[in-house]
Amino acid sequence: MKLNVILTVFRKEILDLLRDRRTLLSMVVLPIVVFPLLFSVMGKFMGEAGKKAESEATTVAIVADQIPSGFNSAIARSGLSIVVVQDVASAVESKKAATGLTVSPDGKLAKVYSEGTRQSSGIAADKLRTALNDYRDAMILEKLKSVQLDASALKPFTVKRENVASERRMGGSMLGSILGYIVILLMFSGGMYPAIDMAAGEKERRTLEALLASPANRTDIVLGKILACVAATYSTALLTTASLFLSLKQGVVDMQGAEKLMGNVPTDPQTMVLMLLTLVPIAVMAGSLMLSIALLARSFKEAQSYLTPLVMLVIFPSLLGGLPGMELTPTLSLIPIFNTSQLLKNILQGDVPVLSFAITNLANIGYAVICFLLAVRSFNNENVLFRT
Amino acid sequence: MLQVNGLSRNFVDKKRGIVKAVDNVSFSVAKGEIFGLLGPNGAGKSTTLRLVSTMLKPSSGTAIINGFDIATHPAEVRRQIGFLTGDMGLYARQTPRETLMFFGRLAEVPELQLSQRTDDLLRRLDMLDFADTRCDKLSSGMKQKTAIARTLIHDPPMLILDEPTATLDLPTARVIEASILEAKRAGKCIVYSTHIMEEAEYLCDRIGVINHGQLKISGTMDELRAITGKQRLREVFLELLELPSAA
Repeated sequence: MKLNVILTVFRKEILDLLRDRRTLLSMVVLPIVVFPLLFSVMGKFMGEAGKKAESEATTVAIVADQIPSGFNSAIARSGLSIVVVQDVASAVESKKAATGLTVSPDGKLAKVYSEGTRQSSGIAADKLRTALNDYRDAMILEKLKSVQLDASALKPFTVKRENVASERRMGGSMLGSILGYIVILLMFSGGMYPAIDMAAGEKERRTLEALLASPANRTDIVLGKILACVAATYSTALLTTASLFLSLKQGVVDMQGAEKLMGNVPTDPQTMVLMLLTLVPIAVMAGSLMLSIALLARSFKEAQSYLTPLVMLVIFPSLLGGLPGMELTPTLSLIPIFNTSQLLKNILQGDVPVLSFAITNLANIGYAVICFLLAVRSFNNENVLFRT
Repeated sequence: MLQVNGLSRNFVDKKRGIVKAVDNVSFSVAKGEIFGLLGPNGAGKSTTLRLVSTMLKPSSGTAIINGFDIATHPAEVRRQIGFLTGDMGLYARQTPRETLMFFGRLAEVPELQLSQRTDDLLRRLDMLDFADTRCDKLSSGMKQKTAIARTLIHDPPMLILDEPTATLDLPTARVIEASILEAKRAGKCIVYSTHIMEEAEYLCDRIGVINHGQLKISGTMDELRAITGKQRLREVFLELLELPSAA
């Protein structure tokens, strides 16, 4: 093994990648813009949809002369304006009014109408219901007073739910579930073109023979290539992670309603370092695996048709790992990709199960070594190199 | 300089079973000599040259280049060889100068010597005008010059040329031929494969005719004429293809 030869190949491949627009797009541009874009679009839509719903939640449909007078004051307090219609249900359904109210002739049953798919209808119905509840409570108080009873008799105690998860954990839970698979997915797609370019690309451009005829050792050549491919994959991961954290920090300020989704996002150095460490064996695994597969192909197109399904395949375990309620047990820590997206979630929640962390990373290092050796072996196999 | 002894290589083909792509081939080439390997397409020329340059491993037999055995010292063997084929490509996003530096470093030519040799080759092959233009912007003649320069960058004592002019137009092919004759004058040992008889007749000192993986005969033009009793290489060639086995 000759370090200077390995570095020569590595430098040449990196230079080649940086000069390739296609690679730059998937390796650098996409990871950087995807999160700011996603969050700003998401924020805008969420903000505007909320505003729009708020501005539309202004009307309540009633049938003329059917509402007892006490209810009218409740409606007035809800701030909704009255629309007089023939049929309340169809008026709400056809958007003539945001919500609707009917009261049974005996005054014992008040029905509030809402159209479940419309946010504005829900908001209006909530306003109306709150106003009606207040009205009812006032009536109760009135009656209690008349029989000289204290209001507390109705409520011996109150029940309140307390969420013990720290804010960091809530944020991490939401964030971890998307982060896990987006980072892994982008890593694979970022390393895909570099892998194709330096493996199948050599065959397609007919440069492989010259490379093999050079005095350099095949193992040294492929080590340089693996190194370059892993570097490409890992830098995609780095950029994706950095872009994610930055746009989250920014996004929470810019986005209305986003706080609920993101929570108090942990952006401390320790969290980032743990994350980036976890991604190292995955990058080695992804880079070497894709390079080995791309070596089998004779052309760019063929390599693409092998690697695209692989990237799709990667989505499943990482999506699974992002599902709420999934726990990272020591056994599950052995499943590649799944274990990583799961561990990323744990890291972002601020409590890392030590055993699972160790098993996940050890298992991933094992897979990385296997893929690495596979790539070295493929490059030393003349059937792979001279496949016709 | 080059000694090929009983070199054989079998491939396993799903339909045809074991195929003897190269079958017990022996020949030798001296310094300053051009040896032509002549044969129809699929005769085993490329496989023979790939075996000699250690890209493929032989099933049996061996070759010794400048004292290095292909089986035991493959890296040293490759250091002795400049390998060029007609359809070899270049790295599109590298310039000729970068290409030469890259291959020089792969051959571990010391940096100082490498930049001198690069400048020297660029000048000798008249490449200075496009030395720093990306290869995908070059004309086919410029590309071919770059490929030749790449073959020579580590100053190998031996050149292996596998149909180097096969895909080229006449003027570009002339560039190659001129470089080959210059290399011969410089005392390099050259193996040259082709299926074009006129080219072999014009360039080569000795010619070996190969078919179905077997070397049918080898010798100078005069020797070939004497053996077959034919005057023109075309007739010699056709005559030899009929021969049942190695002479």
